[in-house]
Amino acid sequence: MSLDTANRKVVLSVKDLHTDIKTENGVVHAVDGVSFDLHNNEVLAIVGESGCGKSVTALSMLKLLPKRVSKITQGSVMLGDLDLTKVSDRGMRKIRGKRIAMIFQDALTGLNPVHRVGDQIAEMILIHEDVTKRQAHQQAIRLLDQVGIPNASERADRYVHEFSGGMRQRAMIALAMALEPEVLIADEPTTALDVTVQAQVLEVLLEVKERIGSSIILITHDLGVVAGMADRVLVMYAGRIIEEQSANGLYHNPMHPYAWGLLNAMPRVDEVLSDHLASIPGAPPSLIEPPKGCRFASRCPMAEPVCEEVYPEVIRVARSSVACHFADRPDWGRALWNAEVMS
Amino acid sequence: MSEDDILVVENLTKNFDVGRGQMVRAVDDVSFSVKRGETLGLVGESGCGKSTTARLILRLIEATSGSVMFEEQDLLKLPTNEMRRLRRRAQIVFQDPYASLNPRMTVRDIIGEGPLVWGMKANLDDRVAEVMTRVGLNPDWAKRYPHEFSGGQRQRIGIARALALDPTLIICDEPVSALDVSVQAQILNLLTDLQDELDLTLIFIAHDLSVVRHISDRVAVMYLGRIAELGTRDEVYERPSHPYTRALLSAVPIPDPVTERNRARTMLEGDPPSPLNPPSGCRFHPRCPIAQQVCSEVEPVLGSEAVGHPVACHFAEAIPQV
Repeated sequence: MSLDTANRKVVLSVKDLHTDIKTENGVVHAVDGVSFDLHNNEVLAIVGESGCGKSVTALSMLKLLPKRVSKITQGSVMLGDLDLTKVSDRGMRKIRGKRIAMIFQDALTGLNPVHRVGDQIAEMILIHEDVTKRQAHQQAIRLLDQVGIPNASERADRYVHEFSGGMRQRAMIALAMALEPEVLIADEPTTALDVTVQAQVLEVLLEVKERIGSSIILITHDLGVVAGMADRVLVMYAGRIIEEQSANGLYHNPMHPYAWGLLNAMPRVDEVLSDHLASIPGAPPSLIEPPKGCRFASRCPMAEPVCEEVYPEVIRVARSSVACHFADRPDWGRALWNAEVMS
Repeated sequence: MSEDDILVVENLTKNFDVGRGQMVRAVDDVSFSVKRGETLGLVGESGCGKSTTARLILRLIEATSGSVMFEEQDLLKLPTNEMRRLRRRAQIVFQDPYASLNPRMTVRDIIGEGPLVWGMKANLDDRVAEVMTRVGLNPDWAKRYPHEFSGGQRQRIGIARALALDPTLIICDEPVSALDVSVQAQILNLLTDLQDELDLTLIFIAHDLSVVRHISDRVAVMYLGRIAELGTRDEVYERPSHPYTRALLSAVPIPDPVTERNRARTMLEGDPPSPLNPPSGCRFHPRCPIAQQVCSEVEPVLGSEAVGHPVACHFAEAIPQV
């Protein structure tokens, strides 16, 4: 189901984005030169492990990071002709919700606990559109109904703590999609849910996306969820994109050793591959003073001296890209595996 | 109790009093056995009672009724001092490596606490160094505190602590669910190796069905305090016979876009019901795609007659295998 993105319109374009975060120990270069395009009506996944910068990328795009401790130091986020990094706070309020909306992992962060769920959705509609209170409320009920909340007219008057985990995520989808934004950023939208409920929520998300024709940036650590949802995938490691491919390409022919390791470290529910999983030794580097060479070099069983010295240039092949000095070596997957088993 | 069984749990039940005269049956009449040297996976969604079962076995909370036979004694009837003695042989590894290690104790003190309590004062440092090496930690780090370690390393400390008293049984309660996938693989590989080297028996509790398939010899699927299905890994994953097991397995995403997008999926409606007020008859019937009248009236028993391994469903034999 890989989409032909070549002929699709670019709705959002991120170029060379850098975000710094101040901490007690120094400045963390959390996002360090990230560039990608989001095409019309596609699902683009950003995957990576904790601390790789995937959430900070999303929050930077919406300018939701606290100014006191964080700063976009370089780069642009183009939504149409508009560079979001240059838009004022006031201006961003008109864009958030209306043109780009976000769903969070934890609905208790995304929804206000002291307002009725329906009122919160109605409020957003009222702010952005010329409707009466009554119309806004009716619309909120319709939206809740569309995301599969049973008894929506009665549930709209409830508070978020009265909703189950799955219902909360549905309500957050209803809120995010209320104004039919061009872009929806979903940050770990199902991570806190049980697997049967996760399946329901993902289905609702795709359904709503098709109905209003928006594009989704799906941020997750779960490669299974990505396989079912994404058209294209960006793999992030230590603040940078190390590989970009169609979902099919990535899963069947990963180019970066880290991507390979990640895919083979996951046990599968449909088959038992081996007694031992591929595991990646060690941990990601500190982003306060990141290594000058390839950031994965210290964990990579294929690394050679050049990897420690020089950050690999991003190689683009058709619509894929990879940042590895040895991405063209056909035998490295096996090498990585053997190194792991023997260690 | 067959000779191979190291642990036999029978009719284990726990009611929690939640006030206003209400009771939650967190674990309801659960029976299973674990063979020496095997890994039993205990799997289910949040609130199904899997962690409570673990805690009941070790008497970290007291059971309402039932029995837990371990090394020929009923743990639930033992006086405290004897229970303590047996806990040397049965240890636990917790989910959260951030919350389960005392931040004010050094790694040496955390791992050495058990042996010290049991009077192994001589050679304590050697013992600590030995288990640290075994779980892949540098023994030179023994003087450090938990906050100086990454999540994966902390989980290794938790495992080292469990190993320090030479247990025969280790209960792992969601030991990898707080970890990133590459680190998760390190810990799963470590557990597999330790089991082979030390002839350990494991009860592995997790909500992640892929992880449970990878590590378990046998698997028990729990739903709302009860076991829905129990069998070897292949029986449960290749021939799932409870409609809940099937729905659960079909909901787990497979990391392969072609397979994932072309598979038939049994989508369950709604959330698991509250254990405060479980549905009548079969607890799964309100969400079950094949429920009949009888399912809401009669609670099915866990029986092997229908498909050869224990399943608690009135229609286990009627479901065609896919």
